[in-house]
Amino acid sequence: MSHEKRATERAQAAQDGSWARLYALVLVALALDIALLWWLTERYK
Amino acid sequence: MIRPADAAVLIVALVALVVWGFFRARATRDLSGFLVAGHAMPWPVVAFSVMATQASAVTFMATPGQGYVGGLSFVQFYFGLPIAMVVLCATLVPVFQRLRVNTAYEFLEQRFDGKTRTLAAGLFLVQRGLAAGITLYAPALVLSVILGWGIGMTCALLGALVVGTIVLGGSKAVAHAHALQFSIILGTLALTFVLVLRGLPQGMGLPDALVVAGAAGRLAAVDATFDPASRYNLWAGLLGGFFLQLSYFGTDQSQVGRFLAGRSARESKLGLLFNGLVKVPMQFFILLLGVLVFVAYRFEPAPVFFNPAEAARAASGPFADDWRASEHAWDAARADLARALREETAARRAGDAATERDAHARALAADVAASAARTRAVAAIQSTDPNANTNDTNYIFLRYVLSHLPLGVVGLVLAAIFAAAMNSSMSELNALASTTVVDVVERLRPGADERTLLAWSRLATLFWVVFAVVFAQFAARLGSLVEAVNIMGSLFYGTILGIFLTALFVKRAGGHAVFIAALLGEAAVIACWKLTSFSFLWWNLIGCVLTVAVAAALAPWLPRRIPT
Repeated sequence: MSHEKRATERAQAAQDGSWARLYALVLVALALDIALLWWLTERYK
Repeated sequence: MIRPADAAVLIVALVALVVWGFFRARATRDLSGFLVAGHAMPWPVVAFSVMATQASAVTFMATPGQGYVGGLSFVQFYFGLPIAMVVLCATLVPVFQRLRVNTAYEFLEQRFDGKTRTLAAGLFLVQRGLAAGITLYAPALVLSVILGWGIGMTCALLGALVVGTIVLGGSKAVAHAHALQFSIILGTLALTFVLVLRGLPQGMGLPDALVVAGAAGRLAAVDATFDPASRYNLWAGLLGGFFLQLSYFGTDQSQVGRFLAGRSARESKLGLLFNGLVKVPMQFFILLLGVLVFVAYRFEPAPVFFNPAEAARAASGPFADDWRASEHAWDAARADLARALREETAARRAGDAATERDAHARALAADVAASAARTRAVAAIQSTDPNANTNDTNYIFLRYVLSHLPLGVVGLVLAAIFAAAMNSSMSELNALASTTVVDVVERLRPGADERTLLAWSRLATLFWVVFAVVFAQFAARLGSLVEAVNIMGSLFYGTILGIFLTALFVKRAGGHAVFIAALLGEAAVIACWKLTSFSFLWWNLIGCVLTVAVAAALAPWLPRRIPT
């Protein structure tokens, strides 16, 4: 495998990793939203 | 009628919106610029455009009303959206951007065949074409009732503003206008939130307001009960909502056209993920605004019915005596309620549990009496006109705004509502024009040059505006028709999403297999609608899963033809 090809693959993997972190952030934010809304529901029942 | 200063703010804001969109897009002379803003928008513009498209005027007026009537439970409708944004970014967005398509349906011909593309584009044109009429008519009707203008005038004004922006500037103008419009909407909502909070009775802050709202069941945001017939619960929101949002954002050209305007897959994905991040909190605050209006009206006189046109008809009709009796009973019960709530709040602050319990019991009794009076008032409206619209949810927020907010702010709120009406109509009409030109005209006239196609795009926009306005004239029943738009979307979205997911994940399935699967999926959804009590959110899941499963099952017999 050429040096250039390996560098491209590494860059691609790094990019995929940063997208995965961003996706996880959105899903964690949703879980937090639901947890807070659940708390609000129970607190003011 | 609105005051001259508010009218001036409204007119200035509307003119600014159109001029801004047109000025930013005055160089739109090519087809790609007209259809998908030349694939050149940065992610913040994509994000605002995507969010503005989903936030129609009815949503803007109805969501606080929904908070007033049903509390926070509606927020669960959006729980599936962030998951849908993630799935969309990981699957369809890179494919669409790599192929540089102008409409979502172009991809289907490349993956399957012409008939599958035509089926998906046809389902979209029928569904969205009819919905465009309601999108234009619904806010026009509410504004005409509230402002005292003719329905023809508000409808024509909205139509002209939308046509002016799209025909002259195309998708680029739509994207830039969206960014400004949505900023006005968010700013106005934030300002209104502060003013409503300040309008609460003397000495009452947000914590007290939440206690009053919670006691009336308005803060029940999450319901974890699994019930397919219940419209809003955690599971319907997460599962049904996920499939609905994935179909809407991934296969409805009015949204696909918005994120395809991104200058790269990165910009499109960032725009969609931003939407996924802020949507649930944003809807929560809009609903909470409605809950605060509910609390404010608990302490002061409120109309027994918020639609002034229907109320006036009942007050002067043959059942006027019934109407007046119910109005008196309502006013008396609400005065008792306000007194009891004030005593309850004061007792809670003083730590006097016995007085608090007594006042709470009296508040509950007054609430029951007020509900009974309202039921009688609605019965009087129905007796006066059996076809009357007895759903006044969309009028609640506007009635509060007109009677409580200061000079200038009222004009700003009305401008925001017009802006929201323009937002969704512009995206719809731009998408209908794009699909007509790319998926119909270009295929019927394969050799047509870019100038001809651009002219066709402008003509198609005009055609769909006229179609929407004509269809709007038949839209006499606002409440039921708005519901019908949601149901109509859910009738088709699941199947269309199933076609796209088959394209991505069932590699062996060919055009014949997915075409048969889509027809069977659609038949199953129609059967669910007609024969079962499943709420509409579930239809999206059923149509999608069935289309993918049948296409996968048929794939060995009807495989994909690999070009040689």
